[in-house]
Amino acid sequence: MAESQPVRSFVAGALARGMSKQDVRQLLLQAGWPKDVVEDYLGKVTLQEPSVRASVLQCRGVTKRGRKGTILADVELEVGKGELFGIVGAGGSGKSTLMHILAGALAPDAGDVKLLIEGASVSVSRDASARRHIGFSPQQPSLYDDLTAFENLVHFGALYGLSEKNQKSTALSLLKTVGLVGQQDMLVRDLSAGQRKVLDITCALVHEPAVLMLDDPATELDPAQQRQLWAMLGAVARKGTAVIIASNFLADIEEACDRIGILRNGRIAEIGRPDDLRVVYSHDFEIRVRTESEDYAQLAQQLTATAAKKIRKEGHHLIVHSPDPAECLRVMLAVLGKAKIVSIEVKRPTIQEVFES
Amino acid sequence: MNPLLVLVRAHYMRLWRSKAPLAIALMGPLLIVLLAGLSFDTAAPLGLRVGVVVPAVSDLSNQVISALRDNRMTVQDFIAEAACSQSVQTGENHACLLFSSPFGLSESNNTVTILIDGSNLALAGIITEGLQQPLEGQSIAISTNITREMLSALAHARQQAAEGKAVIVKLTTTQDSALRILAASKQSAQALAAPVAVTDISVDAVRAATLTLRDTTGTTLKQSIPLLRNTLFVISNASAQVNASNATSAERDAINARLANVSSQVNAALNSAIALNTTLNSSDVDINASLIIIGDQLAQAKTQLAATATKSGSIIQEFGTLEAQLNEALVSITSLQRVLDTIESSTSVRVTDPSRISQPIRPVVQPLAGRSRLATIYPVLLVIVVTFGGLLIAPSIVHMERHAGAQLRLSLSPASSDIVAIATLLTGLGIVAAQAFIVVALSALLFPGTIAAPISTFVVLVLVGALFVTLGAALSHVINTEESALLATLMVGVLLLALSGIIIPTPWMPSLVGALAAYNPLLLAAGIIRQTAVFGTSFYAAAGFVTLLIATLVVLAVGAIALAVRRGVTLDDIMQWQKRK
Repeated sequence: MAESQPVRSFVAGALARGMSKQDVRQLLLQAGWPKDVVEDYLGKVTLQEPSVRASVLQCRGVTKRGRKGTILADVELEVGKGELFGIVGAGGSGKSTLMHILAGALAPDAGDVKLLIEGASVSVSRDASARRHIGFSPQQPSLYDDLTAFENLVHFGALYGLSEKNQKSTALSLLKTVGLVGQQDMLVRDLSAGQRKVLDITCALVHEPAVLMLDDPATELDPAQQRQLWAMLGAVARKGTAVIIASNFLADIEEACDRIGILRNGRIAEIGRPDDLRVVYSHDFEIRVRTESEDYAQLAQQLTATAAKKIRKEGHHLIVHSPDPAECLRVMLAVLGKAKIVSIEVKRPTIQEVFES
Repeated sequence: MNPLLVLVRAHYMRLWRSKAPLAIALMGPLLIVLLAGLSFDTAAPLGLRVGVVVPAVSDLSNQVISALRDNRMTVQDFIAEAACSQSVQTGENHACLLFSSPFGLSESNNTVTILIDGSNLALAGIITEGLQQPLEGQSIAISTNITREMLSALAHARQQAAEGKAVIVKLTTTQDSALRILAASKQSAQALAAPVAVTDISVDAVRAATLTLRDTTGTTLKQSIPLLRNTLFVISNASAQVNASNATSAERDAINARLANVSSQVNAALNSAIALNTTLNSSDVDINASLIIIGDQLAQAKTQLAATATKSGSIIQEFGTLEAQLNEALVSITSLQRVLDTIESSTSVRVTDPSRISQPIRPVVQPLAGRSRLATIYPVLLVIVVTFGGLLIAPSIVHMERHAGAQLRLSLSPASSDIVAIATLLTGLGIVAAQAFIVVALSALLFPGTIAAPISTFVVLVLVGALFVTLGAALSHVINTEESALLATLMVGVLLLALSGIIIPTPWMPSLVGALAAYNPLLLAAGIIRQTAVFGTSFYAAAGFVTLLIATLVVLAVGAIALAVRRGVTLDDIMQWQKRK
């Protein structure tokens, strides 16, 4: 363990300089460090990968307390211009609260969110003028049900100060982009859930914000709408708008986002590029085994002593995470002996699965 | 476009699409005005149905029933009280009238019992009003006759009193004379009875005094005689000296003449003195004899005086008794005189027309303007329409906005909370203005003359509506749910109504509550509307009330906006939006 300190320092320093975990691993292995030591420390070090782009939004020490305790604790993140940034967390992890604070709908109990626009720093929670630069689509569409799709867009365009001519042209252009031209005169309450969601995102874009925030945007969308959404968000980001997307499902956003922050128990546990996160979480294999007796006590003990990093029982199965699946299988066969194995499956877990575990 | 107008436009678009609230907000007042206008318009038939039970028909009962019919009531005859009562219970008739048998004006048979359902108690007033018309004439006739008899009796008594008073005056005068004579007699008797010091008068004292007088006079005379003689001598000498003087003969004659005159007078005096002296010397015996006679006479007088004094005491005592009796009689006479004076002074009631006594004040109720009931109650009705319109529309708009799906997006837009709050107030004000316009326009159209100054009335109604919209909005910003907010505003409305004097007259209220009621905006508003709508008073004439109304409105509006801004968007709101979907 004497070697651990230099490894830790190197890893921390490399990550702080903006290197990805994958690059750090490569370097360490090339330098001759034992693989288990490198994996161990790369696994323990939290990713806090900074944006390589010019920051447009900074969240510093944001804390929010609710009736049942702390919802967000000392959240730190930074989003660059034109960046697609994902926030992932399980239900109740504080994603929506964080999104509302970032959008200025809620004030944090501590910390601050700042927009860096045209060289000026504006506090989102304290300066109402910051709202002009933010577009927000909450988890549930925020629209007037008794106005048409077109009227909603025109109404919010007018509130954001668009001229009467621009209100209508922008509304029509956006409706065309998202494929809702045919529904422009329908009342919102008569639209499908997916159409409402799309219209809500469109409303968030009507004033061409510097930062677009979408809370769970893929919900209610069919695959075609999802593809259209990601394409549109890509286009928006390419125009220089920072896009922050919160989702329960990493799979939804890991392809689209430049960086992803993982929110766990009100704290940002990891921030990194999807590839990095995948590497961090995917070096372990997942072995799912089920026996007739479903008595896994001895097996778990043996696996823990040998190759398993994490073991849990889920339903009828024993789930084992290990970087060495071959050794795990060998132990299983040895321990289980004549016990009848109903099923056995070895796979590399998705980030989502690791995250959820 | 200004964000305020954008928000108000969106409110109206949304209200237009949710037809029910808008229909209620605008059609409600229309309906109320129509119903109330028709109900209170005295030109329309009242449609009251009345059952009557008349055991014995009389002229008066016929007059009463006829009067009821004249008042547009439908009268149905019943033989039995039970059937008539039953008709009220079933709703066939509004009331049942039971006449005394035979119905008349005497105390024993002048009762008309009105059987009425408690919920229709107000109708009793209208029925009673109908009953009173024929009875009133009869009542006045009877009262006039009675009063005429009373006045006649009074005049007769006055005449008798005047006659009696003349006798009494004479009696009093006689009594006074008797008392005066008695007083003089008593004084005389007292003088007689006064103690005379008879015993102090004696003959010796008289003699001594007489002798002293004689001696003194004698001595004086003795001294005077030589002096008088000497005087004569001196005069004689003086005459000689005059003659011997150088004086002219005329002068000498004049002086001598005067001297001779003086000399003759002195001589006469001398002769008198000599004669008196002689008399004094010879009168000693006569004086003594006279003194003896006087002494005898004095003794007799003493005896007589003592007897007189004794008799005078007895007379004085009798005089006292008599005087007391006379005084007592005089008091009675005076009292009697006062009574007669009072009777006589009743001539100050200078009434010649008995009807003025039988009905000294004849109250006549006459509406100051327009149609009777409508004109009085209509202003209050107008205020109630806009009051409740304002109070109830405000929570609807506030909560329509607060619970709109787009609330979060709106809260993140550049439209600040105060702009949103003001837009809410403006939308509510617009609806109330529409309500006010409807009621005023309809009133002017359907009940011409009901509202004297439509424009002033409209302005005041809008102001009142704005006040209650603001009050409703302020309450709605404090209360989270629309149902609770509506309930709260309704309670406030009912409370204001209860303190408005419409349900309970303000003079009946406890002093503190009555004082509070004086500042009730509903009451103030009704007052202004009454002035402008009914009496056509200028808007500026009610400037005090209007200023107070506007001041209250401004304070409430600032409060409502402050409450809206203070509330803002909370974590709970966000959680509710998420859950709601």
